[in-house]
Amino acid sequence: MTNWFDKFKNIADVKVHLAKLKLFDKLHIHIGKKETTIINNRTIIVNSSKNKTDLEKIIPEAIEEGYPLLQENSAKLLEEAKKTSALPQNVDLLNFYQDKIPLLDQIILRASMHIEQLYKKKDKNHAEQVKLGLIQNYGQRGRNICRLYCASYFAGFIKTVYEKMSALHGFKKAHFEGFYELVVTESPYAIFIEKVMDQNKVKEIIQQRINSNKKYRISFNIHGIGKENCLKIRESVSELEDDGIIKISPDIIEKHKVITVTLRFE
Amino acid sequence: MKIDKIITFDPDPSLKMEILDIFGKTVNKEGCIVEKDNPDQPVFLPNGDTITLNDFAGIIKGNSLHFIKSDIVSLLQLADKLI
Repeated sequence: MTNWFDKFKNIADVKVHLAKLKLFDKLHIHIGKKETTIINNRTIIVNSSKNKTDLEKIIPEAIEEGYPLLQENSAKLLEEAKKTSALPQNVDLLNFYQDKIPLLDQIILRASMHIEQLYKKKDKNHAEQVKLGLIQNYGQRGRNICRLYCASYFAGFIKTVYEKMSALHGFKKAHFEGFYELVVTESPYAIFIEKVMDQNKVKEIIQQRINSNKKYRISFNIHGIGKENCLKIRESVSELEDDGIIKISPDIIEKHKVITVTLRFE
Repeated sequence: MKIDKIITFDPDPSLKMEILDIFGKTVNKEGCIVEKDNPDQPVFLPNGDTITLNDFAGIIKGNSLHFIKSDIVSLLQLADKLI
């Protein structure tokens, strides 16, 4: 079973002659551009160019035996995202939604948990990059789920709606599923303002949502993060009030450069 | 599949090409991974999507080879398959 692994070790041994490799299950193999070496008796680095012929045989064998081959940053992201999913508060929420939302959405939810974690760790560039990958692959639905999760809708509003619905006589899971689909596709209850939107765009988006929600008097929240977004939202809301488009004074909560404005209808 | 023994490689485009070459794949002018001996034939993921060199994160064993994308959802789906 470990023939392919012995071949990796042989590559390293021939070049480096270091003794006392740790036990098999503590070793890690990395293929790269650096010189073949062993680090801390734990990692075998194999130079891809100088060992091309050996690698052409060994890598397929390793994969055939069930060992994945992954680029280093993806392996790291996989491990970290797994750890985030396993945090107790996240496990509780994931368990709640386990039989209530589509399987792919559950995975997007786990992805969103990790993106939020990266933001919390102030690793903004990495968070943005991971989020971009999510949106590129899963489109508006992925974007909405991520935004709704980060604005606590999954822990709050959506969960509360399920609990209230399920307590009603004659409740069917399909009732909640219909509501949930609307929330993650149309996001009628929330809009999220982004840095790339200028003042006019922000005002336009808010006005469009007012127009689509007012018939059924569906209240909605406007969310923004960062000083600029908070200002754009405040100014847009103020202008719409002056224009008579917003008739009821909105509730505004702004703290630590995060704003939520709730608009209601008469 | 074994999570404790993931073999990693540098996220370097030329190294990705070398790895693809080992498995008889290459990249067309649109950056899409294709069969080396039939460049009109793209490599398909289990969900039917094609994959670009830029998105290529790795390979695991499946019924045939499974190519893995680098986005977080694909990686979490992989994590669920690994023991």
